[in-house]
Amino acid sequence: MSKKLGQSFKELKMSAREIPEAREYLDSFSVVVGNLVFARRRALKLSQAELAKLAGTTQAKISNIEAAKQNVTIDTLNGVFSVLGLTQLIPVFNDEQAATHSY
Amino acid sequence: MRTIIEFLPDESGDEQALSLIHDIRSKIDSDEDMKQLFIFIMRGLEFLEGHGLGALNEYFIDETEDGFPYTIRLVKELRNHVPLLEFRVNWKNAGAFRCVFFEHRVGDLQVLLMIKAVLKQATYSPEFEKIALESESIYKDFVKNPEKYINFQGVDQYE
Repeated sequence: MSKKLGQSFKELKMSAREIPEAREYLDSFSVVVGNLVFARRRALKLSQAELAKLAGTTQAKISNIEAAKQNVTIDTLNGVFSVLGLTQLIPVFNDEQAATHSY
Repeated sequence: MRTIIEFLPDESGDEQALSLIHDIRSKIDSDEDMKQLFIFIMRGLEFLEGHGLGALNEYFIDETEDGFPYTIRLVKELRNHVPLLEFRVNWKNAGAFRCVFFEHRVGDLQVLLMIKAVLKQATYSPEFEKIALESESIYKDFVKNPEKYINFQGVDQYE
């Protein structure tokens, strides 16, 4: 019980990222976007089919976005985020994972 | 509001739900299904940490490789064990990961306390019923004395 609140989960997340496939998936743009769309759609109380209709796409495409599948076009994302009312994204970058170039 | 995921230790100090996740992780080198299950468990938990408990009554809808659609409800109420909840992730041959947990509010902080977990291989699982009852007992004890289970030191920094 002496552990700091949330410490075990923090360690688990770090441990997961020692697995290349897990790190690649969990920190992928697809997962970040999928989670954003799912959370925002839920907040707006829209079904996948309703969001798809408003965004001019199909329920399967919304499913693909939320499931973090990688075959999603930028046009589809533009339509979806427009319906969800996105005005700005504030990215958080991890310097330790970022590629660097030395001259 | 910020959300924290916490694994609740039992009387012997064992964080059983965390132990099961570590056990699944230990099998990933030899079992591709276990690897996928582990990754999806992490995505689900990180989603809850990032977006809170609003996932209740909602579904991730996905398609299998043959295009057959199926639904996954990430969080479900345990009707016979209110206010306990169930975190749920399924993956093919690996089975159905189920973790019993509950929500505890500390000011504006939402703490999701993971109690016990099981990897089910069938829809009805006596083992799940067992951990649900054990979790209920732990929950009742927690409510009487949260400080016995959670380290509240420095909790203000999360709010």
